[in-house]
Amino acid sequence: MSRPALAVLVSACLLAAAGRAEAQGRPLRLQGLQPLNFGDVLAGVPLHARRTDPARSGQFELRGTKDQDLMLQFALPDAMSGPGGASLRLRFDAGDAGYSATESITIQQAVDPRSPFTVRLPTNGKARLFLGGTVEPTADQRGGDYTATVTLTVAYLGV
Amino acid sequence: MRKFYLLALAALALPAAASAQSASGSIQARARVLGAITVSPVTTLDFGDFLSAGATKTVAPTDATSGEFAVAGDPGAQLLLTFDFPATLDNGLNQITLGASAWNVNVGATRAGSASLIAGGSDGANANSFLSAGGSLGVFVGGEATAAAGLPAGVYTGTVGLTAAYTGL
Repeated sequence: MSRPALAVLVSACLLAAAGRAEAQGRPLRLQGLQPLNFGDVLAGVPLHARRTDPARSGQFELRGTKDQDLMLQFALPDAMSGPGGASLRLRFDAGDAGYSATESITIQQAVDPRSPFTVRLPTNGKARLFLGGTVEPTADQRGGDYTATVTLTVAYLGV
Repeated sequence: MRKFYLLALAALALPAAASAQSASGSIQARARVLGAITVSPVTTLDFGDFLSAGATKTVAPTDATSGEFAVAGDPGAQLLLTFDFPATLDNGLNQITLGASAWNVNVGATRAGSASLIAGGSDGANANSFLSAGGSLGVFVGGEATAAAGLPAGVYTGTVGLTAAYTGL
C-alpha cells in the first residue's frame, strides 16, 4: 500500500471514529412514558390492548445519537400479580410492539417484542416505542388490581 | 509506515467502545379485574291471598312481601340491571294478570332504606345502579296483580328475571 493511500485510509478511519465518539458523547436515554394499561377486565374475557391505542399502549421515549443503529430487547412478564398472590396471564404476540421515528402513535413500524430487534434513530435522535398485549383472565379470576413490570433495554450497534 | 498502521488499528477499535453504551427503562403493565357478578334470589314477591274475585293487589318494593335479589360483584362498580317481568301468574291454564306497566324496583342495602330505581316499569325495563363499597346491592321488586272472577283456588306462580352486567364505570 502506497503512503498516500494509507493516509487516506487512516483519515477515513479517524473520521469514522469521530462519528462514533459523538455517539459516546451523547449517551442513550430510555424513559418509560406511559404504562401498558388494560383498564377494567372482565373475568373470563380476554382483552387485547393495541399498540396504537393512545390510552392503553405502553410507551417509551428513546434519545441518542442521530442516525445510529440500535439493538432493543424487551423483558416481558408472562403474568401480572394481583391480590392475595393471584396471577393474571399476560401474552405478547408478534406485532405487539411498534417503533416510531416520528414519535407519532399513528406512524409505527411493527416489531416483535418477543425477540431482539434493530432500529435506526432519526436525524433528531429521538424516537418512541409502543407496546400492546393481551390479558387472559380465567373465568374465576380473582377481582382486584394487577401489575407487572416491562423493561426495555437498548444499546448502540457497532457501525 | 508502521506508525500509520497503528493509527488505523486504533481508530478501528473505537466502535467497540461506542457499541458498549446501553440504557434501559421500565413501565408498568396494569389491569383491574372486575369480580364475577352473582345474582341470588332472596325472597319471593308474594301477592298473598285473593279473597274476592276481581280484586287487585299491589306490593310496594318496601313492603315485607316484595321480591328481593342479592347482587354481588366488584366493589363500587356500576351495573346495568335488566328485568324480565312476567305478564301473568299461572296455575295450569288459569292465570292472574299482572300489571304490565306497574312494576316498581328499589335498590339499597335494606327494604326500608331502599331508593326507587324503576317506577311503573314494564317487561325489559332496565336501569344503572352502583354496587356498594362492599360489592353488594339489594334489589327489591314490587308489582300489581289482578285476579279475575271465577278463578279456581290454588297457588299461582310466575318468574321475575334479573340480569346484571358491568357498564365499565
